[in-house]
Amino acid sequence: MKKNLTIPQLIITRASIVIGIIIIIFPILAIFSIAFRRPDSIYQAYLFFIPKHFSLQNFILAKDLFGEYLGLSMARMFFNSILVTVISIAIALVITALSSFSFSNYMFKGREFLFILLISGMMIPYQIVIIPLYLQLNKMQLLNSYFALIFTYVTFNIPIAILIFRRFFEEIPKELRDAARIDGASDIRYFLRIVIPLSKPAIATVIIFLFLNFWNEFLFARIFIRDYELQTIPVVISRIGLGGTRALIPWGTYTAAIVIVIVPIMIVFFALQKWFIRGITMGALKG
Amino acid sequence: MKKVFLIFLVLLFSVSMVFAGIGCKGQTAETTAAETTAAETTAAETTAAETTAAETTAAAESVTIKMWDYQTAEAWNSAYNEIIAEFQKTYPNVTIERLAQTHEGGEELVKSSLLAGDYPDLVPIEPGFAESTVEAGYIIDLEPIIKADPEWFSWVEGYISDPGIPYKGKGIWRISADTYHIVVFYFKDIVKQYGGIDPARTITDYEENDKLFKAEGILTLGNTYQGNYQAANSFGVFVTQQVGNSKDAWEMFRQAANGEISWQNDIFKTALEGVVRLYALGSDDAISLAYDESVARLLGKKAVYNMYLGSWMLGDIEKQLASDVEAGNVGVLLYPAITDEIKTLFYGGGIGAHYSISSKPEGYKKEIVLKWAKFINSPQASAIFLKNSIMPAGAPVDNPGEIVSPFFTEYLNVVNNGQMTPQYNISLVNSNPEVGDTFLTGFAELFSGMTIDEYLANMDNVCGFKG
Amino acid sequence: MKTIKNNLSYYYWHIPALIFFLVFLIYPLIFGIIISFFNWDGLNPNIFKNFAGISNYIKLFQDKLFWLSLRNTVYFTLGTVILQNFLGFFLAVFIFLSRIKQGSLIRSIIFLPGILSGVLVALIWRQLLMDDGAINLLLNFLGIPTIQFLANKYLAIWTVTLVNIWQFTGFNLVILYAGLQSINLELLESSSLDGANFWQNIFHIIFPILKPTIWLTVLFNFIGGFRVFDIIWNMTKGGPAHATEVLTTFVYLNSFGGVQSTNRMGYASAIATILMIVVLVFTILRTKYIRGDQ
Repeated sequence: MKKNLTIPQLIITRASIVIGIIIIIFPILAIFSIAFRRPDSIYQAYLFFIPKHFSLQNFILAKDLFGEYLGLSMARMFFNSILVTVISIAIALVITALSSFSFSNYMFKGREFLFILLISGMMIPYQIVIIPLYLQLNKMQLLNSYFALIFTYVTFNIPIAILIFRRFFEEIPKELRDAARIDGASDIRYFLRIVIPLSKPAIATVIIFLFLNFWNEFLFARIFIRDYELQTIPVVISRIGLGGTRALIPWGTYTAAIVIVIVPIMIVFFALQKWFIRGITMGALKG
Repeated sequence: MKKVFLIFLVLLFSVSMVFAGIGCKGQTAETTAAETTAAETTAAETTAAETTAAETTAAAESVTIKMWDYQTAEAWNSAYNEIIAEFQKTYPNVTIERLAQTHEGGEELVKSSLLAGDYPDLVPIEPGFAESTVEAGYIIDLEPIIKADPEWFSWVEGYISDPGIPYKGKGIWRISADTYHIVVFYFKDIVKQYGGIDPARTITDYEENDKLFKAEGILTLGNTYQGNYQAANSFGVFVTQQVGNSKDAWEMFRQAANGEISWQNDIFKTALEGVVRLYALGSDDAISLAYDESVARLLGKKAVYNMYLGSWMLGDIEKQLASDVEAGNVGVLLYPAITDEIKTLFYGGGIGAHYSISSKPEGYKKEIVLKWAKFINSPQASAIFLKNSIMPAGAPVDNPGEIVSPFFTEYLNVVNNGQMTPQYNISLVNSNPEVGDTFLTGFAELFSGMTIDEYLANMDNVCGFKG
Repeated sequence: MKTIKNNLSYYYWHIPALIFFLVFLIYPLIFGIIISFFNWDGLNPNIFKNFAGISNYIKLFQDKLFWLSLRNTVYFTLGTVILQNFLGFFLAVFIFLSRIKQGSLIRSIIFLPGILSGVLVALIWRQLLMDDGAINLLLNFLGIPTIQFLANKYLAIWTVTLVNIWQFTGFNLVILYAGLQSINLELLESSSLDGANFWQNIFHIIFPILKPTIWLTVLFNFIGGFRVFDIIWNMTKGGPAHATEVLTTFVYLNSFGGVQSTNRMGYASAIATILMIVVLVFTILRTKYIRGDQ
């Protein structure tokens, strides 16, 4: 195909791509660069990116923020996010897979109505439910606990998960089910023994979508969890940034904190990039 | 099989609900103590010697008091640490947990906590939602308690006439730890270095200095305009300067806010011109700065004049700009005079960190909470505040000169040359949210191109002034 | 008899999901909508003290700030929809057509910002856009005077929009690229042999094939645009002077309040309800339109 592109066309396409990459990477590089500079020469760098004085001081300062000032340790912060995310994903997978199975396998009265009802949850802006949910969770004594987030996160991501699962399940040939029935297997067994193992791509897709939504969620996490010890990453980071517990934290320090938080997720992303990309694509196109 | 599965699911769900208890820091467990006779009578029992009072209360089980405020300056932490330690000498069974947050995050927290019914014992209630808070019954009126305790009354007498204290003109609904003044902090050495006017007394002086600084690429005025209270404060001060006293100035504001007189009068106009002139000396991004960022400009010595900061910053300035303070580089000014003719300079001020008392504590805990609230205004606490360069609102101290730092003394000298005027911006926001919002956000509009006439006409519109 | 029994069991599968949905979404949603018909200050435990009828809605339509928020939301959403699809489309096409070996790595890199939390993106960009931040440093270096990206009241909303585009163009790119996979390369080749040039190929062959996929990304972008909160709130809190106030931040402002303001929770609920209706209406319209198309 290359020979079909003339030189100017080649330049345009390649240049556009390169410019796009530069624009995307520039802020990330800038942040990394700032984080690695010595605090007193935070503005000085060669070629914009290479620190004049390389130093890990900012990271030490950032690490010191955790503990007494922020009210929780760095490990605890990661633990909170991981716990909430993992449990939410687990619960969401189970309940949406079950529901989607029924959607894809059976015909029953009100099926499409129920489906649309569940899917339309996607369009609800958080702002309209946040206060009532707050009051409700308060009454249920769930405020300020992991469950406030877990239940909320699961609920609001039911639509997207069902969307993905249903489409995928529908692709499974009906012959498999008939064969199972003939063998005397109940539908539940069919579901567990055949459908689920076949659905690994869909499960991966759902996990990826949900992971992104849960890990990065900010609004609910901020309002529902008050105890510093239980806060998730986005909330802690926003406290370090602006409107924190005390007067301004130096730029270098909180850039380092940002780096600390970004690196794990970047590693996960690049390691699993194929799955991420495939997942997003599948989820969207089939949805 | 299906039934089993179904039951399993229901169980799964129920189990998760049960786990609702884990990690849940719900309502603070009130330690209900056996009511002692001492607790049942009013705080009249808790006269002077706290030690004897402590010995008479039968229950000495541990109590935790929670208090929140907006004083994030470091000096406040050291002051309170010491005051708490002092209090604990008399009441070792009491733990006091204090949380300081900036307004941006803290107000939401207060409101959502009130709503959830899970709020601290000493809670800062801003004027904007004081009415709702009182009517919902979340806080108590301290008037009967304080009036029955002559000592306590004498300690707070000085500030309970501040407009923020009563609700609908009655009662004592909050106590205050400090009085604040809003001033201008500036760096004398920079002014001297470039031959600027020192001390700068009028806006024209500032503008002259600005010419010098701009040429050197130095920022003349570094302060935040986000939220626009600083512009509102400047406005208030400039009006008061022209009117001559704060009582009449306040009356003028009140009438304008109620649509009784027009906003488009010369006094307001001149005042606004002053505000705009000052704004021009600041950085272009001032309008989007957060409070923290503006403090950083001062503490980082990034701007020559720093407005809308005040007494609550003193301790931090002394600590973080220690070498400059020692070298006498940090100066204090009152807000500039709008014209040469103005003789008396005013400064915005009033009661500072304030706390309302929660209606939740009962019995022994309530008694202790009140004792703590009283202690904050005691002479011992006042002394500790002074030591940390905070102006206490409560009981005066003998020989303050011995405690107060030289910088603080200099500060007080400057402040005492002027007169205090309560901040009208707050009252305006109080009276009517729409008026207040137009008033405040209007400043940002002013700085982005709206003319003064348009702004004033807008205000007339919103306040319902009919020609 | 057997069919009836089977019918019931079909419903069982939905029970857990439904329980969550009803308890944590439907019930609060209805509650929230009901609140919009009352004047509640957001603090009083008795929520239903003051019945307001539709007065909140009437107030809303007369509120200058509401229209400003709506306008900003539209700017933001339109900007996002148009630019993200434009950039996503061309990047996808270019990557596809130029047969770069590291194509998937490039897509991953461009997608990277999409995995970051809105909070992080907002804080990162806020730092970069300040007067003394990296962007202005670069501009100054090139001789361009400092631009107040976040403080200029006309520029702010577009700045925020661009940051959002920075974050999510990769999302569009990935989806559109996948849509490209279904393109028959031979079709392109033969078209080239027939004399069509590069751009004609793109517009007359590729673009029509991608149209349905583009509709999909448009829908996602639209819903996302109206629901945006994290990124704007953490960058500017809706300021300065409401220059970046969008519907969601406006609701937030009225519920938890700006500084020192009284709560207007009922009013906030009304705004949120309107927001929801707008999104719903658009989605229904779009779905109908697509169905009609096909």
